[in-house]
Amino acid sequence: MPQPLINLLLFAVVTVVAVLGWRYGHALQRLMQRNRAFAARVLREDMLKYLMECQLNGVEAERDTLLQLLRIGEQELSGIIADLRDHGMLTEPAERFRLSDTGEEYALRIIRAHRLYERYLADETGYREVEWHRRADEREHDLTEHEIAGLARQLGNPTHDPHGDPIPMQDGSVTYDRNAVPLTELDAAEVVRVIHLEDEPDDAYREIVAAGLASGQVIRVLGRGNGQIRISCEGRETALSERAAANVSVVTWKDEDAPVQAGIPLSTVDPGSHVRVVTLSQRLRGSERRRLLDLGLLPGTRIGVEMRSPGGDPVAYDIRGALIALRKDQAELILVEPVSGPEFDRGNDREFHLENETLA
Amino acid sequence: MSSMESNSAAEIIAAAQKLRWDMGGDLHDQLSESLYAEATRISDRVVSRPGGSAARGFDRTLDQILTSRIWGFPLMLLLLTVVFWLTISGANAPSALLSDLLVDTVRPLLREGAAAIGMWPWLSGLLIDGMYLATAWVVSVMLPPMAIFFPLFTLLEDFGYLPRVAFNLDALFHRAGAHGKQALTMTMGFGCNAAGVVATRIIDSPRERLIAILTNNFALCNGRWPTQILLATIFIGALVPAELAGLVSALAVVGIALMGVLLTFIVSWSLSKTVLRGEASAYSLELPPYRPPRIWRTITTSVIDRTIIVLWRAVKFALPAGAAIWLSANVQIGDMSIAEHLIHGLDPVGMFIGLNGVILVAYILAIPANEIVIPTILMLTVLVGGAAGLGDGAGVMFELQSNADVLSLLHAGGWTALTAINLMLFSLLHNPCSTTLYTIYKETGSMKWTVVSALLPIAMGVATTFVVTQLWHLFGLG
Repeated sequence: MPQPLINLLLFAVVTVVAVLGWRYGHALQRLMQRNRAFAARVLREDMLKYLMECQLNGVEAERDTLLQLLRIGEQELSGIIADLRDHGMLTEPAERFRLSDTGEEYALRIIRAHRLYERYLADETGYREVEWHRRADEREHDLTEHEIAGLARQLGNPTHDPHGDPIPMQDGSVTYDRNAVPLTELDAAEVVRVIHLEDEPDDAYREIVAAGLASGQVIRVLGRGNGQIRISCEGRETALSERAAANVSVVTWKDEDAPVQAGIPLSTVDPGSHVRVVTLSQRLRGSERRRLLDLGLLPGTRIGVEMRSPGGDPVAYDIRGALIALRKDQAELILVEPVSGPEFDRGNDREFHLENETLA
Repeated sequence: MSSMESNSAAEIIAAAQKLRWDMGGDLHDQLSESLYAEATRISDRVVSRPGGSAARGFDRTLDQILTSRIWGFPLMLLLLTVVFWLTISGANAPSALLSDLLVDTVRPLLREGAAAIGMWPWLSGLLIDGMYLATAWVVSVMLPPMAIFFPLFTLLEDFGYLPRVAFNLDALFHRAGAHGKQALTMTMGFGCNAAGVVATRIIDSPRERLIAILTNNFALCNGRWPTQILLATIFIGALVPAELAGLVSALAVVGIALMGVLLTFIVSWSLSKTVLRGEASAYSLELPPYRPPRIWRTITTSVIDRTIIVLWRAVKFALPAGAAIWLSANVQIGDMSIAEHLIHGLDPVGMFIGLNGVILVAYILAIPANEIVIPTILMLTVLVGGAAGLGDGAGVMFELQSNADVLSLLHAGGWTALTAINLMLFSLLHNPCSTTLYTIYKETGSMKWTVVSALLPIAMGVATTFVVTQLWHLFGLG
């Protein structure tokens, strides 16, 4: 084989190894950590977290679920339980899992770290919904007390994580909405507010995200059939399997709070039309939401749809007298209702559009 | 007393917690609403909007043309071509004038003066042939194009046209995970990468701004065009029949520049999908009203804000680099100068990727500005014994008036068409100059991103030249 070819092959091998190392180095590192003290702590903390969540939700902790969740054997689990008892985290008697006060405090701190970090990922980073849980699961074990407090301050002491779970306070108090029911228990035509999306198992959560659901939305049940629940949500119709819907918790929407606001996505409105903002989708979060609010996109704001760019996306909108281009994926999350024409107190707009119509 | 205080503090905290729960998570929503309601109330009372409709009508008519499917892109290409043409053709004369003045007139005077006061030759060499010459070179090559390009660019910006370019190209950049305004910072990068990096301030979304900063180096800057043109003319043009030489070498240069644009998209896309995935992103693009450009103000501010700042940074780096270039060629260790040691040491590495030790040493020494890479290469080639009787002595950069002389010198230095092709590629794909690196550090405030912006293009350059060299040998081209 000629030398240059050998060189090229060697180069290809080195490149592939480098790319694989980059892609899977993280997983490899975690694998190597498995035998260390850190891995043992992660298992302990994950177990405490599970037991605490069971306690908060008022369900009995199952040994089999624990084995699956922690991906360990029967023997290892017994070891961890003995370890936790030694540390005074679990109370006797042995046949039931029951957290002691120390155990509860410890577990709530981990849950607080997890939910705060999820809030952080949702508000301050560009990671997508389906990544939040996994990333928070990794970070919750290395955040120190000090870092958790700093995170809470930075985020303005949020009360809920992006899935709608309450974030335990620093003193360990946590309040759940006891009136919540799963979406599967509703009848057609009921109007409810989503207060919680369960992020496990992963595939069910992916289905919920793909359907466009987010905590805080007001939705209407349209009907059921073929193992599916059809709902109307932020101006769109969408469907969820019964299995995924069981992971969506809702509370009754009281009409006196505010009228049910539907609308159509701004992205569906043609240039030349005028609309009024009904609401911003609950799926707009963090810096993206703040940006649009700061531009003055608030409920009631009038928008003139001005022109499309040559590629069709973005589209330029007249927002409070400024011409602002927004992309389709943003305009989809701004819910609007059509209005007949430009505002009367702003003659400039009206005159211009009349001129335009005469030209046309 | 103290227990009372702590009691009331606890009460306040408890009250704050309760309020937070009652308000829900949309505090910022409510705050924005009340701020805007108050602002609207005030502005309705005190602001009247007379006239204005004619101006708006004019704006929209202009927008219909400048962002239309048919006219948008041709008009944009035409305007940018005019800007580049004015820059290139307009910069030649003042560049030659400055070079005549600073290099050919002032330098001999300085040397005479130094000799007259009996300055040690090594000191006058270091100060005049090293530090002064490098600085004079950078100024005379860099200043004129920047002083033409930046005001023109700023005029288009001031008029309101540039945001429309971003609007037109946004779909393309969106697909690469970037912001439409990166079209502007990239174009600015064709003038100067340091200025292009500063210009990324117009991108207010953190992720997209980092992408624009890290990929700006792929826009072939003003300092690298002469290298490309020289090499394409004397090496690539020579590969084809004489009547095609001009066309082919021009195509080669344009091809390198277009390759840079293509790499901008590819690297932007990969960055947005990998290392920058977690950075926050919030898009918006304002299209401000058109207004007549304030020509005088534009010229003064763009010359001060962009040209002078960038030039000053370049000078700060050129002074020590000039000293380093001169010292490396004049300080002897054993029987060879430092530069010769380095060249011999790096020669095997250079040959491996189809370059040579001289080129690698030149890129290390000439890190302040790409403008002085070719003069440094010529000087080093003479130094290691390529040709006698050329140049001004060890450590003194020079240029040759005739391309034929350059060709024979480089041939004597062992160059082939492959070396030229690889140098053209390496000139596109290497670390940004120290001025740009410093600017990246200033803009990002992060050592990590500065290092990434230096190592990423170098790795790509080494990989590309290596593959080209091996393929060249594999197909027996030389």
